[in-house]
Amino acid sequence: MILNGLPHLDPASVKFDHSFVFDAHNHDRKQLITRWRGTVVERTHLGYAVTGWQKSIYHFGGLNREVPILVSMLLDETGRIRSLKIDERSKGSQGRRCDFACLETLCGEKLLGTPLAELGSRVSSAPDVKCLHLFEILSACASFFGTLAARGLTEGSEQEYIEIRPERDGLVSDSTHEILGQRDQTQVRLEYRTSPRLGRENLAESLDAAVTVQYNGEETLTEELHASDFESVYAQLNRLFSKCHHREKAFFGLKGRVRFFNSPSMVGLFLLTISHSFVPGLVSRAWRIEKILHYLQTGYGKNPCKGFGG
Amino acid sequence: MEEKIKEILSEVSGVPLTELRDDTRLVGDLGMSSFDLADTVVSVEETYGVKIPDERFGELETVADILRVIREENAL
Repeated sequence: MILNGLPHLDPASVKFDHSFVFDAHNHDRKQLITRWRGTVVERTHLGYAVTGWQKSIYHFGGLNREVPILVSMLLDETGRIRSLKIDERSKGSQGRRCDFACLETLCGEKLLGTPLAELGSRVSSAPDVKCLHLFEILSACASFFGTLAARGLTEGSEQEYIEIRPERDGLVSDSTHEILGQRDQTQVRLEYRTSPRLGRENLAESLDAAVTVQYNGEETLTEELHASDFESVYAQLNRLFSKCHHREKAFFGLKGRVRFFNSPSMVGLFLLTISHSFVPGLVSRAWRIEKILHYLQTGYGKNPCKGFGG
Repeated sequence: MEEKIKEILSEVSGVPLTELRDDTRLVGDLGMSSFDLADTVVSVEETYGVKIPDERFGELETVADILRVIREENAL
């Protein structure tokens, strides 16, 4: 399947065949980043079947990579986790097989018997499950399951699709989110006033740009971003995507801490795209981008994730 | 204002309002990420029309810190 927008999803078949994630590709190299994630909850005669996934696709010059991860859980009537499986075709950050069998065992020991809606009491950050991707997927599943319960629903689905591409003087992200059949679209366009200065690890240490946000085709936000160090660049982008997040939550009638959104990841993805546009070197570009990716996931001075047990 | 800001923190963090004290740590106790912190700041700014400069984000470690920075920056 070619991914070039939010695909049609058949919730009834999701729990039987996970190929819809692993066989989905985007070969359009203009899209530096494609990210697709989602959650399906289905009522079964024993309780609930919950499937959560995310798939990132990168086309950064010499760095072409797919990172798909899918988790499936069976819950009992009371919403407690009775089984947790990570599809064996899942891959870690470097696009290689990870020891997901071991992660699955660790997660099982920690989570089996726990109500999914109360996942946060056992898992509050990525180190709790030893994997950032797994943490994001499990948090999204728990949050969406809680949203369904709050609305008196026992099944439903949500999925989100994002593409980010550079433009002549900036970059553009297009995202579509579908929650319980309702769909919204957000476009964020960032136009550089002056070229960002790259510093340590080739991350932007200045930003002077105009931002326009179109929400469902209407311009809803225009802002100027000015930052003169990395912390400020990060804070400015965090603010920007928080505002987008607020609008989306309001559109879908959501309140509280919702975790089935890509919004928090957008800051890192924008930083990566900015770096790609200005990082020097043709031969070493993929290596430099790889280092930035490591930093964004783990922080300065820490070893990159080589896959659990890698 | 103090109560309303705690309500915003409760909504962003998912922690009940009754469990929030002035010395509650935003990251250590509430498990907030930098995005959650920005989310809180944006909500407070939109609600009160106040401004919390980016360079003061680093000071926001507890509930009391948010209240203090808002008062200092906006002469409330």
